[in-house]
Amino acid sequence: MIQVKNLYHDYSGKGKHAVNDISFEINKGEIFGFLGPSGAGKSTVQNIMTGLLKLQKGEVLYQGKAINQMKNSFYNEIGVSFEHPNLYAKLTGYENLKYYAGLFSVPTLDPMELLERVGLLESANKRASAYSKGMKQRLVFARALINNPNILFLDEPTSGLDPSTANKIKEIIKEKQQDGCTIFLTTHNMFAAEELCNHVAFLNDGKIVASDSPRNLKLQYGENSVKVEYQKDGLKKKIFFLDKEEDKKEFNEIVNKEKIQTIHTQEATLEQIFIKLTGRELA
Amino acid sequence: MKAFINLFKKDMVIALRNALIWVLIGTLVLLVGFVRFLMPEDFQQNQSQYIYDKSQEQVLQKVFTQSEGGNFTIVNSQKALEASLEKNPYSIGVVFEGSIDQPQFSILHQKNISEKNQRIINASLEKLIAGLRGIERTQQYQVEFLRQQAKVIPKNLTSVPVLLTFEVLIIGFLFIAVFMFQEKNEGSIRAYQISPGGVFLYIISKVMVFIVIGLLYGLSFVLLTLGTSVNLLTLSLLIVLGVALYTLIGIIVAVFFNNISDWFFVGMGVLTLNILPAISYGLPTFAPKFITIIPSYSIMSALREVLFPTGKSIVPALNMLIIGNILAFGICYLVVKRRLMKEGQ
Repeated sequence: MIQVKNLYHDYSGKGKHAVNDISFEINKGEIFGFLGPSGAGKSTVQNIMTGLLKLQKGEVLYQGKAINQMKNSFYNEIGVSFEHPNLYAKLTGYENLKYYAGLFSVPTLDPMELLERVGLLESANKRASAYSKGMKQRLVFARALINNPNILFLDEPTSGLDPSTANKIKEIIKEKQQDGCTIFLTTHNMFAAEELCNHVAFLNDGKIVASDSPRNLKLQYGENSVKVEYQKDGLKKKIFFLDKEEDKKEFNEIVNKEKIQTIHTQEATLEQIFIKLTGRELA
Repeated sequence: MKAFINLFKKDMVIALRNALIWVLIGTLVLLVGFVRFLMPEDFQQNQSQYIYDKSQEQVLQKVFTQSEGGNFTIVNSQKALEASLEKNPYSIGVVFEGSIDQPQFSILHQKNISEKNQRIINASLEKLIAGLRGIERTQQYQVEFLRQQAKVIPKNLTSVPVLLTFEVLIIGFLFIAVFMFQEKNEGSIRAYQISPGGVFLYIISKVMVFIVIGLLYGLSFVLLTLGTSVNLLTLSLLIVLGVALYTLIGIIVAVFFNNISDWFFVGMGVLTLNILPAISYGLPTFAPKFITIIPSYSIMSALREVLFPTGKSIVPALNMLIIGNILAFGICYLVVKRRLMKEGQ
């Protein structure tokens, strides 16, 4: 369905690539998670894939057709939810959706129904400038769905939302997938990715460091780990992969010398695998 | 068409909810009040001329007592003359001595008098004396007018074309920049970029919004100052072409900046350049080529002709504006497509 081949992007034009030789494929009806810390190049890739950023080097193909040859009608097929809410502040929530819907030449969804789905029905007639950050985030998400797209690009769709609202959004994402929608999910929230994605790719410093289904990644890179909380100039937390000699040695040292508060064995999470592969945390 | 109407409605709603609409209404009220009630119909200074007849025969005194003294007002003493001059610093005092056959005039004045005015005073006095001697001078020149003479326009109303041109400039050039920076700042332009709307609709919608606002403003201003005796159709056509041209130029410039502070120097530079033709409007003999090619010059001249017809053709101005609009649209399309609709360039 979507193929990205040897993608590069250089903002400065001085050979410092924000995206460096990235390739992946997304199958129809799949939720593809693009995971990485801030500044890893996730949004850059999404922006190139949506045509917001000019393609410099590489290929982005939709059913074999290159993004730079797509006409405006391509946008009838896709929906994009941005990380930073970008709404017409002087329009109400309802007007933001209504006027946006009017730009499409395909049947669109009822703005009021969408507002109800994301929990904004009561604020439908309030200006977007009066919305909280979470409300704006939900409105941007609803806007991405207005044209009932076949491909959805979601950039941190649950960021800044309370757990209950975030669950509501995740439910809608799952429903869209069941309807056959292909979803490109950009996030640094590994728990959301693990819950939603069929396939994930870890991105670090503009490069993909691993790409597979969450289960396969766990099988391939996951090691049983131990999480230790101990007191040393305040509360410290550390995860040890006991299969590794270095970690085992350090773990023994801490258990023997420091004041331990809790010890838990745990299955490796995507976050831990990411840390293991890149040496970086996600947040 | 559906997409255009939708986009136009959205832009119109945003424009009407913007503070700029209140700025425009306030400006309209101020300008109408200024033209109708504050500006005088005539700017001429009160250059009264007083004459004191110090001669023995007092011929002038007698003549002026019996009949009107033309441009001159007769006074009875040197003191009265000086008092009159003191009262009005721009007035001229004349002291007549000698006789009708050998007149001597002394001119008294507070301010500097130009050489031209000195000659006019000389001519007036010569004519006065010649009249008293019974000599009738025949006119030695003939005046022919190339066109039918236009009515004399009250000075306060002559400002209407200039103010209307500035309105076209401000609405088109300045407000579109404010509008676009608002979209850039709130990021809503990014949402439009990934919609099927496209460049053409984006430009046309913005231009239409400012044409509607410009027409409402321009027609209100003219109707409230000059009344209904104006060719409203031609006036509307000029406003439409003028606002469209300056909105397009406004977009072309604003595309390269992200906020009003970055835009300020370049934007104000372009705005100032386009205000220069007002100098030529005030001093018609000063119209160098570089001023006449500025679009606001054509708009100003054509507006003057539409509002105060003298028989001149406005077709060249209309042609210039049409060509200007086509060129500006082409450039605008390219810069919007390459700079505004694509990021990271």
